[in-house]
Amino acid sequence: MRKKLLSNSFSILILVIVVATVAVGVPAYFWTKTHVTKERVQNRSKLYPVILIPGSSATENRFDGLIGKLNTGNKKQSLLKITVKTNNQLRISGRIFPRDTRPFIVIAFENNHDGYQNIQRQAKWMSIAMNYLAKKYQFNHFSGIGHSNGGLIYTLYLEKYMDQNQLLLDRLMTIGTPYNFAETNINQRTNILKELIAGREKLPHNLTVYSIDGTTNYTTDGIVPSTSVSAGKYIFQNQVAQYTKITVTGKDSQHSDLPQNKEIIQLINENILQTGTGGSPNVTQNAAPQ
Amino acid sequence: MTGNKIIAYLYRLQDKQQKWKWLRSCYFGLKKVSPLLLIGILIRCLMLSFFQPHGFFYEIYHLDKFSWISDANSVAHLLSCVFFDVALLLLCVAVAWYRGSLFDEEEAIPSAVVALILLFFINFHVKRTPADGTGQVNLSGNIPFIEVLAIGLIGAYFYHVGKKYLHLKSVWSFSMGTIVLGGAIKGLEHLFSTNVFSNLSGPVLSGIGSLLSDDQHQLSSIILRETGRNLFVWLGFISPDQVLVAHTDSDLTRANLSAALIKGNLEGLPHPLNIYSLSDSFAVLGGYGQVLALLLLFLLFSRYRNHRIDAWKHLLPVFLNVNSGFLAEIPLFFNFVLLIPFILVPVISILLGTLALKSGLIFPSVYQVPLNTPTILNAFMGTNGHWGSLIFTLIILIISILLYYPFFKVLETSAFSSIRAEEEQK
Repeated sequence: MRKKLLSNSFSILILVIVVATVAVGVPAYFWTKTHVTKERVQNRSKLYPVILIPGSSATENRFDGLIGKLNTGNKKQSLLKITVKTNNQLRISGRIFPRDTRPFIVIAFENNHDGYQNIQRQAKWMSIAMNYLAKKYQFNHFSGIGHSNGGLIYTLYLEKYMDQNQLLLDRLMTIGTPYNFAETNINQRTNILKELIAGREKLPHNLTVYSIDGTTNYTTDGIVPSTSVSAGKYIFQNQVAQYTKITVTGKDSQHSDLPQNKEIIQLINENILQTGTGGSPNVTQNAAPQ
Repeated sequence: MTGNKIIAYLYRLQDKQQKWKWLRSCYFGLKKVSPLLLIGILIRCLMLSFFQPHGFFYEIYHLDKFSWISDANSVAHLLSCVFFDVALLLLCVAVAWYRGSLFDEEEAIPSAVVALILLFFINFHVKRTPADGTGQVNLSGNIPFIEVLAIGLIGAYFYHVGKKYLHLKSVWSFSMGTIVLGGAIKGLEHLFSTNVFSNLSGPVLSGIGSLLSDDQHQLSSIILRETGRNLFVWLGFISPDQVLVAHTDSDLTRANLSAALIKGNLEGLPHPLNIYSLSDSFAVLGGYGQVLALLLLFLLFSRYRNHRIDAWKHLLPVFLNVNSGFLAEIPLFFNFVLLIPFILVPVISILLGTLALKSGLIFPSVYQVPLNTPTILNAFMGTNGHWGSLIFTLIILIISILLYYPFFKVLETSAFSSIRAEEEQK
C-alpha cells in the first residue's frame, strides 16, 4: 500500500518535473542566452566611473565642493578617494555604493608638488592607482576630469601607461590645464609640451576632449596663461575623435575657483555625466572639427 | 552507534518540546492559519513572478507587452496584503485562545480578546493625514511571526496572571490593564529605539547584513552570515511576505560580471567565492534553510496523506523561494529537531559548492537572473546555462534530502505517536 503511494507520488513528481522543465527550464535557458548575449554585445562594464585628478598642491579633497554640487537632488553618486603615497602604497577612503554605476573616484598624490619631474612621477602613480581600481572594480571604461596639472598627469598617463586593450577613456575634460606650463609664448615649447606632442599618437583615437580655459582678463585665469591652455590643440587636435576648447569667463573664473564654477559644473553635467540640459551663457566655444 | 544515540536523543527532544504548552499553542495557531497564509503567499508569488517588472516569469515569458500587467500587480498586492492581515490577526487570536484554554476553558476567549487588543494597540500607528484625519492600523504582511506569536502568548499569560494574582475581574479593569501593558511595550520600543515589535525582522536582518555585508569573499564569513540568517528565521524573524533575492548587485558580483563580459568566459574571475556564487546558488534551494529538500521528503516519503497534500500545496511557493508558508506549516519555528539541519544543510552545501568551484568542476554564478528566480536555477542561469552547474545543484539537492532524512523521520514518528495518543484519548 505504502509502496503504491510512494510510486504514485514519484509519478506525479516526475510529471511535474517534465512540465516544469518544458514550461520553465526551456524559456529560462533561452532567456539567459539572449540576456547574456545582449550584455556581451554592449560589452561595457556596468561600472563607468568618473576619475578626477587634482592639480599640484591639492589633496584628495580638492573636488569635494564640485562633487557636492553635482550630487544635488535625488542624484547621489558615490565618492572614492585614493591618495598614492610616495612608496607606491594607496590610502583609500570612501566607497562605491552597490548599484551606483557612475561613481566619482579622486586620485591624489602624497607628493603633490609642481614641476616637470614631479608630474612625471605623478603620472606613474596614477597608473598604479588605475591598475588597482580596474582590478578591484573590474571596469573597462571611464570618463576623466583633470584640474590644472591634473590634466597634464592625465595626458601623460594616456600616452605612457594606459593599456587600451583593457581600458577605454571615452571623455576627458581638462580644466585650466597648462599644456605649456606658464609659458605665454606658444612658440616657446616647454619640455612637457614637447613630450606630450611627441607621444600624441598613443592617445586613444575615440577620445573626446574638452579643454576648459578660465579667464579673468583676456590672457590668463590668474595663474595659467590662456595660450598655455590653448597649446592643448597641438596635442589633441587631429589625434583624438573630438577636441573642443571652451572659454569660461565671469564669476569663479580664477584658476583655483574653476572646479566650483557654475558654468563648468553645467559643462561637466552635459558633457561628462550627460545629465545636464540647456546651454550656458557667458561661455564661448571654439570647437575644432576633425 | 553514535548515530543511534543522536537519533534517540532527537526523539526525546521532540517528545519533550511537544509538552511545552507555549510551543503547542504557537503550533496550534500556525496550523490553523496556514491555509490563509498559503493563499496570500500564492497570490504574492503570482505578483512577484508574473506581474512585477524583472520578475522571473515576467522576464522569461516577455509579459511586458501586456498593458494589464501593472493593474494585475496592484490587485494582487492588495489581495495578498488582505490575506496576510487576516492570517496574522487570526494567528494571534488562535495562539492566545489555545494557551488560555490550556489554563482553563473559561480563559480561552478573554485571552484571545486581550491579545487582540494588544496587537491593535502595539501596531496602531497614528498616521493622520490632513484630508481625512484618520489613524491607520498597519499589519500588511510584513510583521514577523515572532511578534504575532509573542503577542498571542503575552495576551494569554497576562489574562491568567491578571485574573489570578492581580485580581482583575471586570472588563474595564482588564482593558485598562491591557492598555497599560501595551503602552509599556510601546514605551520600551521607543526607549531603545529598536522598533522591536512593529518591524523587527527588517532591522534585525539588515543588522546582520551590515554586520556581514554582501561583499564577502571569505568562506568563513559567508558561512557565518548564512548561519546567522537561518538562526533568525528559525526564531520566527520572518514575515509572510519575505522574499529571498539573489545578490547579483554586490560589488564582488559586479566585478565578476565585468570581468566575465570583458573576457567572454567565466575562467579566472577575480572573486569566485561570494554570496551569489555560493549561498544564493547552493544554500537556499527552496528558500531559507534549503527547505526544498524537506518538502520533497514530505512529498515522497510521508506516511500521512495530509502531510503529502500540504507538501504539494507548498511546492510552487517553495520552488519560487517564498517558503514562509511552508515553514509555518511544518512548523519550523522553535523546533529544536529541525534547527540542526536548517543550519547545517546550507553550510554543508556552501562547503561542497566551494570545493566544486575550487576544483574547477563548476563556474561561479555571475550573470544577473530575474527577481524571484527559482534558486534551483540560479547557478544554471548565473553561468549562462552551464549544464555542469545545474547537475551540481541537483546533486546538492539530493545530498540535502539525505541530510534532512533522519530529522524528517523523527518528525514523522513523533507525529505518528501524537496522532495515536489523540486516538487513544478519544
